[in-house]
Amino acid sequence: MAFFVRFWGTRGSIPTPGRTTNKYGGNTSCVEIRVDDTLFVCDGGTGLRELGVDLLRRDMPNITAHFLFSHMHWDHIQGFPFFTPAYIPVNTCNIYGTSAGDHRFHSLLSGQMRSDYFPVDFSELRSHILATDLDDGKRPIDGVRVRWFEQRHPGSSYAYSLEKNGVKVVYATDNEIDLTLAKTFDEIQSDLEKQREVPETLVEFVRGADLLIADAQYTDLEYPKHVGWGHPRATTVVDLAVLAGVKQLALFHHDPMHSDADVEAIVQQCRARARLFGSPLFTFAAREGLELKLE
Amino acid sequence: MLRWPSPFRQSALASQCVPRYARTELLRIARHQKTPMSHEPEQSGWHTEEAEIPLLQAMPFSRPHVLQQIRGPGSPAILELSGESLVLGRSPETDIHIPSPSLSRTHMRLERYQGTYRVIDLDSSNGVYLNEIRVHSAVLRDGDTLQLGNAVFIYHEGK
Ligand SMILES: [Zn+2]
Ligand SMILES: [Zn+2]
Repeated sequence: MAFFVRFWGTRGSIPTPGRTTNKYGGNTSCVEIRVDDTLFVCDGGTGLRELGVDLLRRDMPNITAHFLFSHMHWDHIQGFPFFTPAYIPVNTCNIYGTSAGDHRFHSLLSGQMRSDYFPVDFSELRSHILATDLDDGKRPIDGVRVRWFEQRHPGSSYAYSLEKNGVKVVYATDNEIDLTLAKTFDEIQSDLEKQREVPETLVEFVRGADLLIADAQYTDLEYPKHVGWGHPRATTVVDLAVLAGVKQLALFHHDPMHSDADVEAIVQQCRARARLFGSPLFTFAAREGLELKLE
Repeated sequence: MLRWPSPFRQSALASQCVPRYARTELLRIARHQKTPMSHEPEQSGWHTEEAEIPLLQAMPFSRPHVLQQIRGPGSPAILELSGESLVLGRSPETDIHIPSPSLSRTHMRLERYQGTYRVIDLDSSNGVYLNEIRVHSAVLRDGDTLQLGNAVFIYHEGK
């Protein structure tokens, strides 16, 4: 048993094709997590289109995809109408709501395919697109324990934890952790090197993850101009990962203004910060086409 | 006067960057362009040499994808990648054979993918590291560092 985690879209907010973003990629949020034969898809940003193309090349009689959406902002759903497997009758897409009977994500997804926005109506997708839910916060799916955690983001967003046989992966994007810290903004600004007090509930949710995929959009310098935009300082995410004893941290939801070189500079800052606290945490930047095996 | 900047000329790959016939063509055009520059009186009519300058057609331009081995047995070496799929490993039967006990017999596969190559770890004991990250698979980009056991490579993306 192993978890295979593959990044199909790592960019935040809006796609950024071009030479300066070629290495980490320009497609928006989409991560494939395979556990044995079970396929989870975290978010359906523009990276989802290529995942769909790739799935059809794999030798599978039919495809069942479990969609875990962080929220419904454009950069997390725009790939769905271009997910070719959704047009093929033998396939199934399970769209999970976060609490019992919550089918909001299913209806919002169909909303973006109304004729004003898109030429094909949701009802014309021929696969089984089922609205289901994660009961009240947790549910086993094919033996994988899936839990969610509500995050701080305009309109709210959800992190997901997937666990099986001692392997744990957490997908946590679009979370302005900085607005949930114990200290005030001014107190933190006065000593940026000091470890930040992340809420214990979030630390517990992430605790012991083999891999944490986390929104790390802003640098310490950029953040003061973006307070309330829904994204954290990358350094605050490092503090969360260190406190929770995470093994590997994948910086995710790269700012559309950041070039490959900017992303690499953030990785270096984050590694220096983990060293400052004496942590063995390994930090890297999520990039398109990169696949990890965790066992 | 058309002059190649000297670092370019010295580059090992320079001859592959611009095919010889393309350089000849560029030089021919550069020489040709000298003529209209020399001043001619206006009454010389409609037929100027300028009108005869042929438009240069887009030329095929290719350079192979390359793994530059910088450490490990056989280094330094330049390994040109071609074909849809290549296996790299310790076994002499592999396409790229690195005789080091730190590599598995069949260690990694390279697959052509979207104009570049994708690497896939073939369940090797020591793993495939891309820029320090242990990966199961990855799509290579120019300048990436790959480490397999004690063999280290830099990937140069071709065209
Ligand atoms: Zn987003
Ligand atoms: Zn958002």
